[in-house]
Amino acid sequence: MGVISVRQLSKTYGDQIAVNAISFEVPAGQIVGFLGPNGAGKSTTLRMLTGIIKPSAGSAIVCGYDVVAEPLEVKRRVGFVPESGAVFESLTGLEYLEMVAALYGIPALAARERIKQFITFFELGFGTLTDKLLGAYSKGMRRKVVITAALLHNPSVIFFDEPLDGLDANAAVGFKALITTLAREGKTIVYSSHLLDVVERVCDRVLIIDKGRLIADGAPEQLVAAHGAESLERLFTQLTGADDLERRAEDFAKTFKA
Amino acid sequence: MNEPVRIERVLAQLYLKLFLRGRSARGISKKTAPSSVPQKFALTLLGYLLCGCVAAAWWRQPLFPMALTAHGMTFFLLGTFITASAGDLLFEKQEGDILLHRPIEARALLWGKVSALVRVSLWLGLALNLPTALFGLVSPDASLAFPVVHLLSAALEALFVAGLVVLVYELCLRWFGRERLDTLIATSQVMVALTAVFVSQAPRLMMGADGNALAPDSPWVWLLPPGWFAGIDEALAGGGGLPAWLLAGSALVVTFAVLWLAFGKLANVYAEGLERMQEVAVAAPSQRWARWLTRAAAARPLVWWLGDAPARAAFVLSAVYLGRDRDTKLRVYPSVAAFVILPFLSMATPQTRASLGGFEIAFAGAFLALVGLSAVSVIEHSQQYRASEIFRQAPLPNPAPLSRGVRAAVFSLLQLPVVVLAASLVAWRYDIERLLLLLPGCALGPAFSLIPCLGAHGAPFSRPVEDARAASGILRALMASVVSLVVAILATSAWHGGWFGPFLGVHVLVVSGVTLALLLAVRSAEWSSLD
Repeated sequence: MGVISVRQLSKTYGDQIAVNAISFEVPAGQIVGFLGPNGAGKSTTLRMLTGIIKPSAGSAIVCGYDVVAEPLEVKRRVGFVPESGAVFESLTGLEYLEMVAALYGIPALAARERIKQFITFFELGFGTLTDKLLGAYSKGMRRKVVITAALLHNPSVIFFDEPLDGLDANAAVGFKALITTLAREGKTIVYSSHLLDVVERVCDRVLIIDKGRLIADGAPEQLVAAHGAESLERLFTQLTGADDLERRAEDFAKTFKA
Repeated sequence: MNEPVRIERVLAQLYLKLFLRGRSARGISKKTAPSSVPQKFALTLLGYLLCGCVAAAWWRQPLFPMALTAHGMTFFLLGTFITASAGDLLFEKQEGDILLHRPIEARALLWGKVSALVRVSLWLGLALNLPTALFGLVSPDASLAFPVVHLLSAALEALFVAGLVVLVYELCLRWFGRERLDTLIATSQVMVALTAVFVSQAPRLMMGADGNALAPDSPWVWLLPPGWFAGIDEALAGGGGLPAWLLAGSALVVTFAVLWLAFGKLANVYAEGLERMQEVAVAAPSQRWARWLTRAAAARPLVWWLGDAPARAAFVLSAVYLGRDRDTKLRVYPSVAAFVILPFLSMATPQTRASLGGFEIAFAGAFLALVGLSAVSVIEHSQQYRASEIFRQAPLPNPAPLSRGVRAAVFSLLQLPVVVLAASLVAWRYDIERLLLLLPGCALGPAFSLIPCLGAHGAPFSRPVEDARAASGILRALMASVVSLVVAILATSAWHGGWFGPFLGVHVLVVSGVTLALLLAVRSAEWSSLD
């Protein structure tokens, strides 16, 4: 059994089906790209796998623990970078990270050491962490703090939801190197993004979800070859029914000429 | 690996810090923010202490009525404060992305939040009751233990109020689904705020109706929570007696029952509620209401007032949010409740009709004018304030058209209905002629609603919620209340002195001039810079 084992996982809201009986397994050390158009059910799936919301049906085992029966054990072993990048804005970066470390029971001194390592990696000054409130951070700086907060407790599985949003080019390159290194060390990474070229380069495997259903699962190059597509981007648009984008763009532009 | 007690302590410190600093400290540096927090909070405590000084009016009065009034005031001020704060504290939607994927039990989360709420409530409750504790010493039947006993009973009451507010939310979460949760939480919050106002005013009104109503053995006192806590004062530091001891016992039993239910028995309900907050709302918003508002904004008479498209858009946005957005409803309705219920209570109570000679009508008109000021300033603040950058991107020289839309929405949906209701009550309980007494107060409405729009403010949902707690806003509301009170007194004097007609004429002229000046100031202001 993989580090993540999902069986017929579903989430419904009234008569709306957000996630429809998806199943997959992820072994340790794999980087999995989790793709899908807006509203496909990606974030809902990640929220179920991190114990934020309960599934309506099916099961999910993460690091050997059921997300419904033992959510706290799951939460101790996973890290999550949410798409929103939400933080408590009236804390300083250091206050926020120390608070997060305390929630995982990391001793203060050890936490301070880990925080220093991360800020060195992200080229953040220690002064930035102590003198400014998070509300005054740029989007990219805030994203670096959120990523640090997700990794501080050394999780076995890390879920990233659009982690590069707001990061500058250097930080993005550094981040890609970081997740490759983490995977080499045995961490399992689920990477949800709309940046398909990044996913194609970084991920060992891709899951594509559309309208709540899992519609493709495999290594990027295998999927591309199997469907006769030129690239992962083309494959994605083919599978998710968005292959007439150029024509739609022309129609859109015409509305301004009228 | 984790020690639950430690997590609770971490969360308690976190929420106290967030509560005092505010959640979204946009652009504030650490150097200014934390140092200003104790200062700001000290000012708030001073404000509560000054409010508590009204206890001087009960100099040498018997202990029980004095304690009852003090506890009534505590119930009102803490009740409205906690009700308004608890919504933001307990149900912050973005918190799910920050904390819910971390190994925290919902009970620990609730305790962390409640601990901050209770600590702040205790400080405020003690500041408010300190003057009563001291002035009470000169009461003929108070013992030397009164200051300590009263502060203890006030602390217990603060716990009771905090527990009660949390319990109401939990019951809503338990009984109703996600689809109706937003509406019901807002409704329950308004109900708690109204109850707080009613319970605080009831002793005063009963005092006028029946002199014996405020004795510990009066059956009325059993219906009022402040009566139970006043029973503690009377039992331990006053004349004592079985009724006082029974009231004191009730205070203890009910408080502990409420705390047990809110923070023990139903704590897991809070966890479910938090989870529901993370889910996508399935109830489709009412399109009919939004369409009707859009049509109303483009039709007479509103179109005369609104004029341009930005004002119409702001009108629709504000009106839709007044009916749809949980954050807006949670803050708007409780904040205007006090301004509405006080005048209605005064007019609806039998003895006021005879004793106040029309003052209550003039007071109602003047107080209902404050609804505009309060609602416009609340609508300006939102958890979604970042979205308002769209207003700055639009080709608008200032927020004047937007604030016009907000004022029109507040007037049409809040102010006008309550004024019509007040006028109906006057016509029913008094005589048609006395409707004129409402006019001086009502004339203040347009000017009051322009005050929050000065200095290029008033665009809907454009400032962080914590800005609403600024001392300037409280001072503004206080000064407007004083103006309302003065106008009501003058109007009543003019009515009885036979010079109401000239007074009304001069008053309307002066208020029109002030309104015009405010309007010009609002229109000429340019966008203020964002921090």
